[in-house]
Amino acid sequence: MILATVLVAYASFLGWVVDIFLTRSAWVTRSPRAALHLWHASVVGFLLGVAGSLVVVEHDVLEHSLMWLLHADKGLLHLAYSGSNQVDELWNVSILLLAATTTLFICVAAKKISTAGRERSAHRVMATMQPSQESPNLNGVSLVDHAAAAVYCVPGRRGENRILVTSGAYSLLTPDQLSAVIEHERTHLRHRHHGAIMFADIVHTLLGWSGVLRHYPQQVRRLSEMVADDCAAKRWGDRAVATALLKMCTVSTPEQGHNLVAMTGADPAERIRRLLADSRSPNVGPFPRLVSVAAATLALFPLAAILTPAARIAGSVHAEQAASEFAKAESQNAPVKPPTRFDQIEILPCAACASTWPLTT
Amino acid sequence: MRSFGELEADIMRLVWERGEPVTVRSLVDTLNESRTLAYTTVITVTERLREKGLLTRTRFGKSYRYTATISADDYSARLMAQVLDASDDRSGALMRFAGQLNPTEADALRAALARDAAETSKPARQR
Repeated sequence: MILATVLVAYASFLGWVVDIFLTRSAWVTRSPRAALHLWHASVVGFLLGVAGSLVVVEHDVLEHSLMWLLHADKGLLHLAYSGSNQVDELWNVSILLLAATTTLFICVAAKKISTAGRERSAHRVMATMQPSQESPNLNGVSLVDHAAAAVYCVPGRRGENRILVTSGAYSLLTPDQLSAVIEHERTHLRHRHHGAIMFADIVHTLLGWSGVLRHYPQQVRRLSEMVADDCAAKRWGDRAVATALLKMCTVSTPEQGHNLVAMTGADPAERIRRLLADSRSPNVGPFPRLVSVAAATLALFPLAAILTPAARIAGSVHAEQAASEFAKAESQNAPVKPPTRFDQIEILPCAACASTWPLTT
Repeated sequence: MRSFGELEADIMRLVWERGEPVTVRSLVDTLNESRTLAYTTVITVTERLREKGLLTRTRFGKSYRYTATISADDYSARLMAQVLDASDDRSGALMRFAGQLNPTEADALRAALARDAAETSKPARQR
């Protein structure tokens, strides 16, 4: 029961506390890439924690409730239920729950991916329609005849990515600014940010009702834009990116603007101010390694927790041997060191889980 | 092998270029100039485009001829309106470079950019 509680507590910690921490920390704007790694690791850790607790609960809840109800012996209970068909349904409630959630996850993912795919293929049709560009500026980019200024990328499979630039944007921006914007879009494609956004949206669809990880979709969008801004600025300069962004933003009424930021999470004003401040931390020193270690820990802690009880009885076969030697020596009246504390644990074979499980009280 | 997405794009482009009703056979012949495609593949994708509302067909003897339901320009305009419609940005299917700013912010940022430009154009000693 302790293990299940630990996993649920850990998942809650990630889902609420780490969520707020990563949303409100100032350092994320200095190192958006590191922040993105930590976000994804937290979500993976959360999902593993919840799934893990369901798997662990399956063993605990039934046995404990029957022990209390019937004053039955734990060992006998375990032997009794490990192979019985009648209690299969009860036994597997949490596994059913896990299977149902996984199926729901897959269905939501399939629907979102196919909707996005249809929308993107429409834009690819439009992109392929355009005559190919002679200008070196626009290598690999499609120019669309449209008065309003817009530049966007259409992700796809290998070789199917497209970047579209309207004629409005082409005439609005200087060559450097246009190159910076195109580099920004190329970064999105290279880092596959659309995949991260899709994953965040799927997680939000499934879990949003509970309020857990509620800032994830918005923050992934916000941080992805910053990462792309950084890559573009590295090549073309902060000012080129900032000016291009300012020129291309449409100016709205105050009410409209607020709603949009809340929905998309990527605030152009914040991005411009950030580029002008130039307070980004360089990607050197121990920081990247620390972030990798932190991310791996966040994601894999539930697995480590689940394996710990099994690790404690690793080598228990030696304890059994020692116990039988002890019994033999005792019968011969020879002085022998008593076996280790592992002999306090009763090892029982479990048909249901096909492993040995220590039944500690 | 290219995905159906690319083939849809190629078929639409061909139909728009021709400007007149086309048969699947003529599409297959033209497309096979650049790569090998089975007749069944092309007709599957053409039918799918028809289901999406991009193509209509009229009977022509034993087979059909296909035309585009909207012109290439109208198609572009419709898609671009979708991109520029700010409220549609939620899905994350596309990633657009810029968004919206409110007027006060826009003015403040313009001033900040101008200041930054003035700063960096001063000789290094004076900064």
